[in-house]
Amino acid sequence: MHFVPMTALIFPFGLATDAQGDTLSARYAWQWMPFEIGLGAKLTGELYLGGYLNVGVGIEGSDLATEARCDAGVDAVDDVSCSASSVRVGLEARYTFTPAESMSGWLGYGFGFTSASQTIKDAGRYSETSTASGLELARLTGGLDFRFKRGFGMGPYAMASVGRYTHQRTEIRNVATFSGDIADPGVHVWLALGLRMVVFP
Amino acid sequence: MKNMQLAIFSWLAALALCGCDGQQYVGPDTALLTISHDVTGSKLIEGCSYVPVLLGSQVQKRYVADDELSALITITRSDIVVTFEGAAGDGVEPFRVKTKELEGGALADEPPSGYTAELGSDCAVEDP
Repeated sequence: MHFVPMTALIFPFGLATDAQGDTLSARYAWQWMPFEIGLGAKLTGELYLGGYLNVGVGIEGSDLATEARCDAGVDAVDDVSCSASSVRVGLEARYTFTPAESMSGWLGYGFGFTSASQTIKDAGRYSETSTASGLELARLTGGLDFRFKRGFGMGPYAMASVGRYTHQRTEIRNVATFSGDIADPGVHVWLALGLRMVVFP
Repeated sequence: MKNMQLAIFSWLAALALCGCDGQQYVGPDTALLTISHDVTGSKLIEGCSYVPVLLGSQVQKRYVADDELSALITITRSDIVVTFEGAAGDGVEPFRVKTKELEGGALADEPPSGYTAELGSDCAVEDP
């Protein structure tokens, strides 16, 4: 068994959909990925296969109309709050170049499901959540592992998650007002930089 | 003691002046779809919906006017499209309005024959 907790900052690039102005960064700001959990097994000394799950949390993106509403309540009593989150879950393969050494580089490829959500709400009068979901077409990862002792390692890593949102769901005041396909999907990238630990490497 | 009271009063007045005691709300726009029968003048549909505020959000609702006509309203932050369905709605072009033009109201140029369709704003949403 191979247990891989991670933490990272993730940055949005590309298109949420192909509609005008609907970029990923317009919807979502950069996010903090407090954890990623990977669980799998080493098929050989170099090759790992397993599943992953990570969650990012942040605030609204750069879209001016949304920002204006989110920032409307900047007084001491601010009842308007905005938040965003993202989730990626899937399978990945990873190749470690020199698994027996105290320092080793690695590269990985994975694919799976991806989803991102933004919410605006005030003091119980109105709430709106917009969730886009689809396929994570390619999760490209790479990093360095430093093995401190048997059973534990740590190192920097980077990830590019290339995906395409194909489904949209909207909830207003906790009622689903729309759930259906996105007519004109676009391609987006979440870029992550972080720190990765390896337990039972 | 008097100075203390004056200071508290001044502080409260300053709070009130800068709006710090006011609650803030999202205040979304609303869209009212009305479909009437030309002959009887009766309102067959009077449906109020929110105009969503987030990028990518949508509101979609289907209203049944009568046996001959139903209407599907799709609202995004920038556009409203009413598609007519049923025997009376067959072949009728969708009724499109930009949300920023909603305030003045809009009347469908080519509604289903025998009906009037209009969109307005400022209504009370009971069921999102």
